[in-house]
Amino acid sequence: MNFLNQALLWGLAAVSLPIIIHLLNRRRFRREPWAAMRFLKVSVEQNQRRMKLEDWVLLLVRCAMIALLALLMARPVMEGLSGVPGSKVAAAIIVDNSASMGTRETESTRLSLAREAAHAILSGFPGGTSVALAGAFHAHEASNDLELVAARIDEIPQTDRHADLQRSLEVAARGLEGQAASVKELYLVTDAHAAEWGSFGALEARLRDIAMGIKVHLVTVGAPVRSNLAISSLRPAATLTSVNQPFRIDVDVTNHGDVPMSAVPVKLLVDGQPEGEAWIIDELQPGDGQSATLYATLPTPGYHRVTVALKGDKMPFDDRRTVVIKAREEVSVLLVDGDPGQEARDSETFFLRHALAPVPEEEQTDYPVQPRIVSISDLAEEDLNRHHAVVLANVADVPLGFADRLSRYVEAGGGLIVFAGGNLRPESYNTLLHRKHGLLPVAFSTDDEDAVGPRTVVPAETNPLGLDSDLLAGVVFRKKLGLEAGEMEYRPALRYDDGGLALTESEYGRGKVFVFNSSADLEWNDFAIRPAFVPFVNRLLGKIVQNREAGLNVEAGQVLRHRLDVGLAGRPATIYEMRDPEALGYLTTLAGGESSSVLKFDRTGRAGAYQVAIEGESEPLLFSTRASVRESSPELLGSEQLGRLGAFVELSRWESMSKQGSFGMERQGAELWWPLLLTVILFGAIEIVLAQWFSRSK
Amino acid sequence: MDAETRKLLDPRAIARAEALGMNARFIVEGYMAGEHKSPYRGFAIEFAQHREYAPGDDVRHLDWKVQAKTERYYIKQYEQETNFVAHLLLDGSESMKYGSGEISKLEYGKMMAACLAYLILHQRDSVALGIFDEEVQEYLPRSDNRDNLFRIMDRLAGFEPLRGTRLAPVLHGMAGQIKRKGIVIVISDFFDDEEELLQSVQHLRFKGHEVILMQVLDPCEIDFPFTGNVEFEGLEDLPLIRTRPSQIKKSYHREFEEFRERLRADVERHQCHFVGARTDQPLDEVLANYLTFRKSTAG
Repeated sequence: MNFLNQALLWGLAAVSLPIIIHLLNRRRFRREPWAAMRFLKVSVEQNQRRMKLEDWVLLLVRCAMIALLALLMARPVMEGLSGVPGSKVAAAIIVDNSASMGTRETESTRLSLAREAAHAILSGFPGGTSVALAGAFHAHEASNDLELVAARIDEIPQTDRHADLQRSLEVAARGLEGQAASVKELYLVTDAHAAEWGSFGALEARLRDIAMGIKVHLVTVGAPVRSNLAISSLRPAATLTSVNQPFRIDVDVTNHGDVPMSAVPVKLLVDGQPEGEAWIIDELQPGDGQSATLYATLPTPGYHRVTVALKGDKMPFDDRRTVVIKAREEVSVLLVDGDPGQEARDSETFFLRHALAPVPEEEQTDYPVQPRIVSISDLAEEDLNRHHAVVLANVADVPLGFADRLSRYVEAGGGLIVFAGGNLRPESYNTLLHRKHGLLPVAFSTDDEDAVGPRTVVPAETNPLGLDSDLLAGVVFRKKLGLEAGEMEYRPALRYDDGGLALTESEYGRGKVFVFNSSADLEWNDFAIRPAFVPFVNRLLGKIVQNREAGLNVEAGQVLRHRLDVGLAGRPATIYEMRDPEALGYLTTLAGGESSSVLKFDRTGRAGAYQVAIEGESEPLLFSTRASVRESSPELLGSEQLGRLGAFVELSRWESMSKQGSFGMERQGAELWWPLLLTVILFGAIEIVLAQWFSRSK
Repeated sequence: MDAETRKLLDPRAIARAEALGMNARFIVEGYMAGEHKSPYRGFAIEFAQHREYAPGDDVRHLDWKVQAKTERYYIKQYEQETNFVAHLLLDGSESMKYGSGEISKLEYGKMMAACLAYLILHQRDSVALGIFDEEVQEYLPRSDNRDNLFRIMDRLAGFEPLRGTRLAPVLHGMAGQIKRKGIVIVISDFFDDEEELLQSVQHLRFKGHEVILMQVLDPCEIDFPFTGNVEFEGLEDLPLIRTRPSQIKKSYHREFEEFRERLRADVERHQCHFVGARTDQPLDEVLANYLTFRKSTAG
């Protein structure tokens, strides 16, 4: 026998109360002088035994009543007993709704089977059972309204997220531990997808702990899948996406199944419409991955959905992936020339201008990148906000007013690229842009120009610009300015072959900053005449331009946080899931920040594109989510692993059309409070009757 | 001046005795004022003459022989006898101290004795007084002198109980001591051995005495109204009894009533008279009871 409120067993000490009262009463007598003792003595002698017996009976009844009351409060539970009215069952049902539960079965999906199983489990509970229903990511409050729980089962959504089922079990078990019930049951309805259990050893240990006080049922649904092709990566190769300018998209496809696949078509869709011919992967061995290269063209300015799709298989969530890309008609770059020179070719920005617009003069007006060259003296009249990026090329000093404007411009989303050179005076940059505004994450060394000797550069570890090392290998660097890192955050993008910093990348407000410590012309290196220079300059610009759309492509389940113009703060916005036009939109309000407004959205469970309609804005914003790649492996827990779990977990398998009512048949253990309450009432009645009867004169 | 005289002159004793005497006189004469006939006439008297019957006369005194001869109604009239003796024996044991109200059984008994003494002396009979517990503690020999009344009152008023009750030896003793036949009136609660008591009463009857047993009881002794846990402390050095009275009330009532009925029946079986009194009962009712009895016996 167990007790649900063991602490209240201390109430058994109250059994001493009637005894104490009895003993105290025996000591408390009123003294009365008396003459007719003879008759009194006879009467007492005649009744003494009866009175003692009555006293004992009453005392026993009172003690028993209090003992029973204390036991009742402690809520005893008799194991191996069933069918006692008033026994309470507390249960938690976790229905796995991770991406793998979307796997197709004969007639439905694994999640549909899981919902059926959950309904069957629910129908096996006695009335009054407290049931907490949870998906893999969200738990409802426990409820005694089984109809409400049944309705909630049908509302559990399919997601494309990766689940941590150990954590879900922990949460459900903690909820059950806090409940007072004779029977506690935890049901996990899942496909036993191996990737969702983390370390099996840890899972086994934790389940064993939980099963000490809670009856754990593992209900599996779904049949194993032998093949699954998945899009494991989708990368737009071009960093600048302009209207009607084809750009490359690199796609990685992985065979997660155990059978080889051949002639795998990879299709491209732009805004839902097929684009070009499908790329065919000839053969894909189990466990292998291959890349496909596709080309897309965005027809209009604004946001577009670029989707890559495989032929659908049983695990559909990873057969499509969408990214949102913004197309621009024109990208304007302001080149501030610190050393114009006598001839155009001698100017500091000559190579930069040609790298940004590598087309003949007559075609430059139609080219999407529009460089504009100004000298430092012209900056006062220049509206920085017209430009996507500002390049300071060997500019000697940064005027005080320009430094202020520049910091505001970058904070609002602009881009800044600084090239060093012989004219650049470190004190000016360090004082205004590094220390005062924190715009530059590093300071230039004030030592004399640091001759580096013939050196080359290599991409940093992450190669954020995606540059080809071989192309960079031919570039010779003769001079540079030293860079001194402070406490501000930055990422190295290029390093010299001795490990020294060459290029840093950092964020400032909504904008992006690159610092290159060598020159943009041929003064300190021959980079400008090497093939690597054009992609280098364009990718710097692409990173700056794309930075505004950074965070618009997230993994399913991640919280979307996208910064927008500060003027949009407080505006209402409605978010629609584009794959389901009939779905209701989610209402939200753009939050305010110091220099921007923020769109925050956490209901990103389904993979695909979402549309955000912001009040007052004519063009909608798009963003996309992708299914978790961790869900793509079709591997399930093996029979050996399930056998080990079966030592302490009730294992059952739910097939479509399984017989209802198979759950709860073995439920044992009954709470005895109801019979105890009746007994207490009976004892109370007996006490009243006996007390009246015994106190009658005899 | 001897001790007896000094005691009589003690102002407190005089006050006590006078109070008792005054009370007795008040009670007796108050009772007499309501009666048409003299209580002094009617017992212990010799025939004097006839008188013609008048309405209101007791028909028991009609002379039927004269009526048979003359066909007229005549009442027999008697002369008082002056040498009648009444022995008042008052139980002064500790059990008589009990009183739940304003008055104890002993105080009530004293008042009864005082009233009877007053009544009898005014009838020009003799009264002897004995106060006893285990033995006779106070005794005033018989006297028909009304001046003796104060002495009786004084003895009654000044008596304080100290010991337990032993009725039988006392009555046996009195039966042996009293030479002249008379009325022996015993005032007590009679909480004593019934068998021995009856033997002693029989002894008195054997000696030719009229015996009247007047039982004085407290209302609580009859009703037993106690509740809760009570520790009864015996007034005659009896051990304590702890009990819950409400649970034995019926049993007590049964025992007590059986005792009273048995005593009454046994006493009457021995041609004695039994008068029961409660201390919350007016004394004149008790006196009326007594005088009714006397009239019936004299009639």
